[in-house]
Amino acid sequence: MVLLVTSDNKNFVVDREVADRSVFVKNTLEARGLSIATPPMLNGGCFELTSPFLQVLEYCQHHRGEPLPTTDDANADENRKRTTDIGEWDRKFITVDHEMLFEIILAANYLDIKPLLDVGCKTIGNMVKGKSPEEVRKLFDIVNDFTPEEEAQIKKENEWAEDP
Amino acid sequence: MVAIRHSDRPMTNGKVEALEKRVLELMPLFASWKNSCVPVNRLPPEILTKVARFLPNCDLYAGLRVCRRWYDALMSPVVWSEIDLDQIYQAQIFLMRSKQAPVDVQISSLGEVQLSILRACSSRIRSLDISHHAVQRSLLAHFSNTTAPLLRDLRVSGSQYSAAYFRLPSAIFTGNISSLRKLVLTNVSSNFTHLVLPNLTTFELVNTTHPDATLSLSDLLDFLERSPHLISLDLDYHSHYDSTVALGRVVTLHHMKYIRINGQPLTPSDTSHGLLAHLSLPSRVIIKLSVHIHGSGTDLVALTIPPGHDLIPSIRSPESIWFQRSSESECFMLFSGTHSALRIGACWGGTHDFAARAICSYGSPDVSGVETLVVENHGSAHQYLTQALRSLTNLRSLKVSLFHHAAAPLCALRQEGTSPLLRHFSMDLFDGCRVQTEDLRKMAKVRKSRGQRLESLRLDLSSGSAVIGDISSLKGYVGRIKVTTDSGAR
Repeated sequence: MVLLVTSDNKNFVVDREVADRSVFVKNTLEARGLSIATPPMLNGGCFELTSPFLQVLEYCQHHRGEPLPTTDDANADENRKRTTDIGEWDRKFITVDHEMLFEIILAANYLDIKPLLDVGCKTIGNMVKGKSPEEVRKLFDIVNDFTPEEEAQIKKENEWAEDP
Repeated sequence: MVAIRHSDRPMTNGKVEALEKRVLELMPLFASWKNSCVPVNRLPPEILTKVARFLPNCDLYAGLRVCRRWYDALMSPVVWSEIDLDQIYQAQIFLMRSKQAPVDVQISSLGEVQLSILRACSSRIRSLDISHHAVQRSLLAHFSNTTAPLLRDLRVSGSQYSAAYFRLPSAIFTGNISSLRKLVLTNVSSNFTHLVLPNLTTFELVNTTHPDATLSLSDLLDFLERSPHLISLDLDYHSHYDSTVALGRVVTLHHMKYIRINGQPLTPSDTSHGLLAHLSLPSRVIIKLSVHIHGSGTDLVALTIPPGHDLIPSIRSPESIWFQRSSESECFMLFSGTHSALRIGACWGGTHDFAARAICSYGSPDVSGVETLVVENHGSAHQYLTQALRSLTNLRSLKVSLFHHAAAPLCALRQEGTSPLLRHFSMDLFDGCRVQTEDLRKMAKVRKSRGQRLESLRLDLSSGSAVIGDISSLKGYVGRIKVTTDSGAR
């Protein structure tokens, strides 16, 4: 068993196999030769950590024991865009509001849980797909901060993408 | 910052215009500040970049126009690393934006322009996917001195119908590509065997029957010998191997984890062995074989699985075997060496008895080490299963998957001479296959009377299959009985 402590000082006791889904935690445990406790402080800044962390733990529980991506997989991953399909369990798992989605992604990034990070990024990708810039802005509360000149320039640079 | 103070003094037109201009300049800045506070922008730019790698090209363009932050993240070179050389104009933009990042290139029609682009970026090609439809051979000659030091992944597909097989690999790159990890060749002439690929981990070869595609087993072994780090080998090869000069050779592949051979791994010759016989492999390797046998006459097929392999996951016999039997041909499979587990599957529509015959028919293969046997889709010919069970003298566990004729294996298990050690028996029944408890009881009773009582009996019922009769009548003859159905255990 491993004790994990989040930056808002909540303690989580989990199986080693579950904790090992996080390459960050795995490496920390191995480097320090610890088997009982370790505090991977999640430097999350101002936002509440416990609830995304619970989600991440749920993910790790579900995928425990699966082979971790090897370096070779990671390299293969750099080649070609992979499918944006998401497994059924993962899809249900990641069906959360925007705030939670972003925090899960941040946690996965920080804890180095690559498959979860991919699921998160694919989910955002699927949200953006087929939308106009204005629709994307609306989706994420973004405002247009380009000057008209910049907009014209970007348009010009990307004529290749315009409909024939 | 601009300080705007209320003043009694009227402003000049010039001043108002200047102020207005300044405000307009600042608007985007305020907008950017505002953007930096929205939830999505808690994500660091490298994550936006990662998201972009899952977007099709048309959506990249929309993404660039969302806001400055997105523009910066999406202009990262890695986003533009996938080059489709069939769209020249777009490819050039991608090449420019990918700066010095490694690129993944795909091409299906190769002309002068594509070749010159390919040459220009060859130093940063990480993967190359060439499918050949109308490549002019003469163009490729220009290529012979091009090197691609980053190339990890090379796929070359020729056309099945083209008169000449595609000879691209040797034409494009020099023979020694030490960076290459994965090589996939489809309908390519056998001239790849001269390549020196010392770090190759994955090799796939898919060829259909073609006169040009005859592969010398000895050349193939040379090729494999030069790639000692191979982890995965997938051969889908339907032409004959020429194995006359390979006798006695052994190539050691310490890292091999997975081998799949589909097609004709053997030569129709009494003295020759299949490719596997020439390989020295680690004991945990997974071997999958699918054997297709063409032609008529007597084809003697001897399959020698090198000793030391614990598990042969799947040996499947295709439909063609059935026709083979209706002609004068015979088909045998010989296993030698010690295997503690054997899994044999016969295709639906094939000869149901093939799998069992495989074990017992030729010579006297040493299968005494087998403790677990899995037979998929075994059908009516219980005499072959009976023979097989007699050969497997140390069998402890048997599992059969059935679509019909559930009584056959039960009949086989009643026979004298089947492995006395058999304790665990399991049946998977599909597609309305029915098993009579009376047959189960007879079998269990006979075995018990011989002192070979089954410790466990397991029945998995799915898609309409059923047990007919009262399962409790088996009590006393079998240790544990477990029946599971589609809708759960009972």
